Amino acid sequence: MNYKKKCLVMIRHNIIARSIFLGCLVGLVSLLSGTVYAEGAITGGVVKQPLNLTAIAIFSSFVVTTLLITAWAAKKTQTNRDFYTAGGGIPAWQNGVAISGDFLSAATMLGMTSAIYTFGADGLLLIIGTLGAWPVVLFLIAERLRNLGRFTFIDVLSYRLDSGLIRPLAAIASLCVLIFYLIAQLVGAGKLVELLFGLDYLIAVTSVSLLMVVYVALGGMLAATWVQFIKAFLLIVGGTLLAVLLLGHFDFRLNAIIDKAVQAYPGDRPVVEVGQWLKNPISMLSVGVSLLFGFIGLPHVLMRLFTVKDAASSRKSAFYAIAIIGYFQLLIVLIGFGAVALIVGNPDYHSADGSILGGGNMVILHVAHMLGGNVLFGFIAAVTFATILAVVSGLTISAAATIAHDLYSSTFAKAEGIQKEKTERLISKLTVVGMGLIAIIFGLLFEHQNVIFISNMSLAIAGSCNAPVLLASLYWGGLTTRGAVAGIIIGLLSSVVLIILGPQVWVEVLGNEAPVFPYTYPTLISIPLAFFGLWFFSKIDKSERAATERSKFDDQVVLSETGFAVSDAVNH
Amino acid sequence: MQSVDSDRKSQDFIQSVKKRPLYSALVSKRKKIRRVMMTIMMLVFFTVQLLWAFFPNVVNTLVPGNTSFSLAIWFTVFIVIIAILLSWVYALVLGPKLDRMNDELQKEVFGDD
Repeated sequence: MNYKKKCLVMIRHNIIARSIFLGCLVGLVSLLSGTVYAEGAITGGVVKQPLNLTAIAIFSSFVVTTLLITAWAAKKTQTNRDFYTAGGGIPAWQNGVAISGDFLSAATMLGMTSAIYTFGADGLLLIIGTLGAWPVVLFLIAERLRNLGRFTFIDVLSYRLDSGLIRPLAAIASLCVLIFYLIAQLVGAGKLVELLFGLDYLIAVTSVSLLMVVYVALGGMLAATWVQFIKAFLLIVGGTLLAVLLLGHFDFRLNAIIDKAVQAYPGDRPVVEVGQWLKNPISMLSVGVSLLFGFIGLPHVLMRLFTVKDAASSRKSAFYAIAIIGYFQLLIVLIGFGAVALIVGNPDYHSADGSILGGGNMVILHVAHMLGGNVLFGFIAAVTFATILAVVSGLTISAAATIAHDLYSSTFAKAEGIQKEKTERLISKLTVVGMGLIAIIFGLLFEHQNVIFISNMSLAIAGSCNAPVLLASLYWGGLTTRGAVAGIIIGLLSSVVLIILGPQVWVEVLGNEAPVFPYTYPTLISIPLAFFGLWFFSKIDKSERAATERSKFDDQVVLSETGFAVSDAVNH
Repeated sequence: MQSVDSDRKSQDFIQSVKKRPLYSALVSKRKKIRRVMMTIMMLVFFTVQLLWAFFPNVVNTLVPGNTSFSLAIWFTVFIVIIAILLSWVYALVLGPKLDRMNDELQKEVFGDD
């Protein structure tokens, strides 16, 4: 080994060692700060919990293990392909677990249980929506995407459309989705960690962001996948344990849980009846359509379909993900009704004014505490934090690929060859650091805001911009660049404008009396508008470029259906 | 899946693949399977959605009548099970058959050169 190479290896090891040290330091600082702030007061309507040493111990083990994995992954991450897609070498089953991990965020675990606890059977609508979306990803997208793309779904769009026009626009839409999703996760994370661990909000947001940067900048997709894999495994174990303990509490009689929930539920209608949450049919359909198309268009989930070696593995990954997500959703149904049966009216988990301790999102943790004491509470709390960390890592690597690959390398880069690849890697790592900073800054700015509209915005943009154009590019030969550009712009503008005019922003944030647009989810309008834009502007496009693009569709079908030239096909 | 050199991804190569009967059979089979799977899944999904939105009394029916289980709960469980079942059929039962056809086509195409 020559001197220069030795130096590089030493620098790399030094960075890894520093990162592990940094991670431990973050943990230590968090622990110490937690001790100081454990007795703290209320922040932003959230009651800080006493310091939970079990949770911190379990979470610290998770952090140390995943940092060691990151150190190992850093050694194996040599090229851009390694960085973005782990060299396409992740086994299908492991990728499936990681995809399920990307989906099973803290919002899913805490939010869906809370939705059933609060709204009864209407909360089940969220489960139906998500389970409807995943088979669509499997049947229509997984294989064709893998055969046509390289790192991101935008590769697929630019196969036959004008790359110079479509890439920047689709990248902007994707970044909107990723950044909004990241902010929602981070603000939720800060509040949650404050609740679960007794840590200060600033420390929580900073710790999550720093760890996210370390995982992704050093270990790339390989580290992010392992982090996601371990977290998903812990989540499934935790959920199963909770469900078994819950069933045991009711002598393994499902009927007893539901009967008790019906008796305990304080709503106007029985907990098993619909109509508590969404009062009109259009709102209900909007939720279903948002979830259906929203999940199809999430860039960080689509990106995982490139981390396996071929289309067959991509298809199997999607199936494993659906099976795990489905299983977990059934656990959530059980735990949700179990929470109503056990927690409603239980004075141990309610304050003097009758409100639930820590807010509605704490329900699953209260169930864990009631059934398994501090140890199970600590375990579920640690898994929740790990969940946030893993999801934001996935979002960050997707943002890095969008900026470095879609914007820099494929649109603006002047250099060629190795120099181009090196610069792209550098930009992707700088993007990761930038995302970390954005996460901290926006996390602090939005600390006291209701961020539900941000996560809705993210899902609405994904469903209105990404999903229609992706489906059309894969299945409609008539699509042209003009149509795709129009579809993306119409989808983006209509979803953002309708959310701003809707009840969550127009009334709750801006303080107006009544919303201009009456529905929370705009997708029932914005998705058809996006599809119409795609169709109409493609149809009226009589240019020469449009004719060439249409003629290339048959070639695209050959490559997407057979997987021949799987790597060469994407050099466009 | 092996990649091909730059000549093979040319028009000639793609045209030669398109002309093969095995390719047509593969594409038509894939299309049929996707269509059937999507129709079943979307039919189930939107039927439940529409019932939920426009016929809440149906969704609120207790089944069996002497329990507290409403159709809303059964529909949710059904959607989860049907999603997993259809995905299993597509990914692990029909998928490998299509993979074999694709492998044969690949041998046919690359064997010609």
